[in-house]
Amino acid sequence: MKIRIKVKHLVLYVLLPLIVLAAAAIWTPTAIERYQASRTPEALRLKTLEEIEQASSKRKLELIVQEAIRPSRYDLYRFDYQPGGNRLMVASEDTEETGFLTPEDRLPLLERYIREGEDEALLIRAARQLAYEYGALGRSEDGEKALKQTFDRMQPGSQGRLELLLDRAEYALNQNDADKAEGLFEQLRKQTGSRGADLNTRTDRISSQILFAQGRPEQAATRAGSNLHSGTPIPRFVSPSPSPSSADSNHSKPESELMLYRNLLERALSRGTTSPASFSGTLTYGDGTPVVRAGLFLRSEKDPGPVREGEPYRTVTDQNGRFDIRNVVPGSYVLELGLDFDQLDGWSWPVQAKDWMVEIGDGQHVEYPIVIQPLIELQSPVNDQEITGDTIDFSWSPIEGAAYYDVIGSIPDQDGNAYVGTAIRNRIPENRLSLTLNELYGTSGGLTMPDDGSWEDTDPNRLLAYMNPDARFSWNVSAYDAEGRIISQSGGYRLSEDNVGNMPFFHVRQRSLTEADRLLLDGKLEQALQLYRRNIDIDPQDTESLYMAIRLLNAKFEIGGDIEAQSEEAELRKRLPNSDSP
Amino acid sequence: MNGLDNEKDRAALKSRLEEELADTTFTSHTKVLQRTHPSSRRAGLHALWNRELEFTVKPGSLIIGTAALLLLLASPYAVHTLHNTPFPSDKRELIEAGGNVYWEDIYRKEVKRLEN
Repeated sequence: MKIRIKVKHLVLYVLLPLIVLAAAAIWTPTAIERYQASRTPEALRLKTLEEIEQASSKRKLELIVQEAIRPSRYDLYRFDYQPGGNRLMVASEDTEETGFLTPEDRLPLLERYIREGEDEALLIRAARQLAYEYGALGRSEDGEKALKQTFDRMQPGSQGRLELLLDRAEYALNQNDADKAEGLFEQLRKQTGSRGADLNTRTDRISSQILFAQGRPEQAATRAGSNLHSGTPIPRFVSPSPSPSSADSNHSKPESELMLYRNLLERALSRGTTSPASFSGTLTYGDGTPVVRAGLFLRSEKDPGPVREGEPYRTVTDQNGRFDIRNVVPGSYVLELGLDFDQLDGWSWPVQAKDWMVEIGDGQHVEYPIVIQPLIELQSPVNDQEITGDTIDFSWSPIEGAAYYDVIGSIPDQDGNAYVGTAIRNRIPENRLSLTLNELYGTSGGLTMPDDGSWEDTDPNRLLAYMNPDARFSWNVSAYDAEGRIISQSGGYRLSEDNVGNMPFFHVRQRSLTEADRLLLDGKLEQALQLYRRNIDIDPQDTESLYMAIRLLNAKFEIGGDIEAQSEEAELRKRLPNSDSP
Repeated sequence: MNGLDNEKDRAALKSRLEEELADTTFTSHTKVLQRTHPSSRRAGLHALWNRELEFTVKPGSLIIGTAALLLLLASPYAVHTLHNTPFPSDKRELIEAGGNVYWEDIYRKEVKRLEN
């Protein structure tokens, strides 16, 4: 083929477009990178600050509202990891394009808004945020000042003014100034006049708390119960809600919040332990650095569940990780923490309800240091390692103060999900564990209870456990102190690349599936059991079949209630070498 | 004889030509000369600009050449995508694996790294 082309056409139609394309190809990636760099939280923070700085005064207030007050990220006591739920439950990652400012950035902006802002609901929100942030900085006088200043700007008799008066009383109470709190509360009573009795349950709770702090527990209990079960719906003034999506509402289930407090009081009264107690301490990492601005909640053991607005005992750690909760009604509490991802990343906050029970005695000042330990690093076997020798050697980084460790293994189900782990070995004194392959095969993977109660529907993967050459096993370690309290574990939040560490997966592929194993995995448990029985009859040394027969008989008894299976299981167990427990 | 005839013919032809071209005057001697014997640089470039090139291309090499060209152009994009994971501040998902909680993008990257 011949191509004839003039030089000028070659240049215009071929070379020029090529050059443009090439330039675009070179420029685009750097442009994308530049764009991405401008979207990091830090870049957005700086951009936001600059934008606010340069805005005209009216626009400035609008931007302050949008960037420093309204974002739900700034709700009080809001943390990425909220207590009261499942350990893995986390607040959903915010996808909104606001809320990148640090508390330090926001202080002057919030100050400006409470001086110049006009919207009542937003003024209240800003004042509360200021009081909260100053509290976290250990500057409670400034917090009180912010509340007072905002209060002074409100129209006399307005709802907002009453709300803020209540806020001020609660703030004073939390600063352990019950008399000041009472004075403020009296003001509120005067202003609401005859409406005093009709105030909302939050008012009752705070009033009751003040009474308790002043050493009048009976009156406190009466006040806490005064609006409850009165037969008529409780009239209350409606708090102007700054944003409907905001969790910072004072009226989420207020009755139950009050009921909770009344129950605490009544229990204390019945026990005769009615002197106000306190709970304080420091929250630090294992390396001694304080955990700053973390949430700390004392929650009634009788009322777990998500943290509500209006919880009486909650605080935020200050710059030294210090926390202090005053005027606590003596009783049993569960201690819970609220932490952000960056506070949690790489550290272990093992939650075992019983371990975090706090008993607060009559008038007692409980000093409670909390240390968050680093996550245990798994060393071997990790990263999908295949076990090749006759033994499996588990090892992990030692934890200071650990008296013993538990090694827990997880066997995935049909879909590869492993929800619950079972102990491989407990109370291991050192940071390593060596098992022969036979010992591992003899280790049980636990039993799932099928919904329909039929023993043949239990998860066969768990029964076959470590004998399954196709499974991807995972494991983790927990460390306990001499009193048996969990102090750290290997499983936790591993968010930044530095903390990802070794992946806790391994494979044991030295065995191949027998015919009986296949029947088992197919869900034909009864047939599998027959075959395992036959295998043992033919070869009494076939321990693997022996393990499986025992596990199946156990399932048959535990789930199906088959007594014969139980006695057969007992007979077979006698044939086990040493002390294996399948 | 022949020479004479020729002479005659030529004379006749010349007189005819002169007669026909009596109204025509040729003035662009310079332009013609510039084209046939370019002297200035500008004219040289102009000639080059308008020059006609002729290539002989086999269909096979045409296809290969086009493919190579496209690949060359696409390479910066390819390199860029290979080296860049999804951006952290975009919507990120947490996933649970082996008792740990990871950011999904970091987890996938780590798994990929271990596979290699």
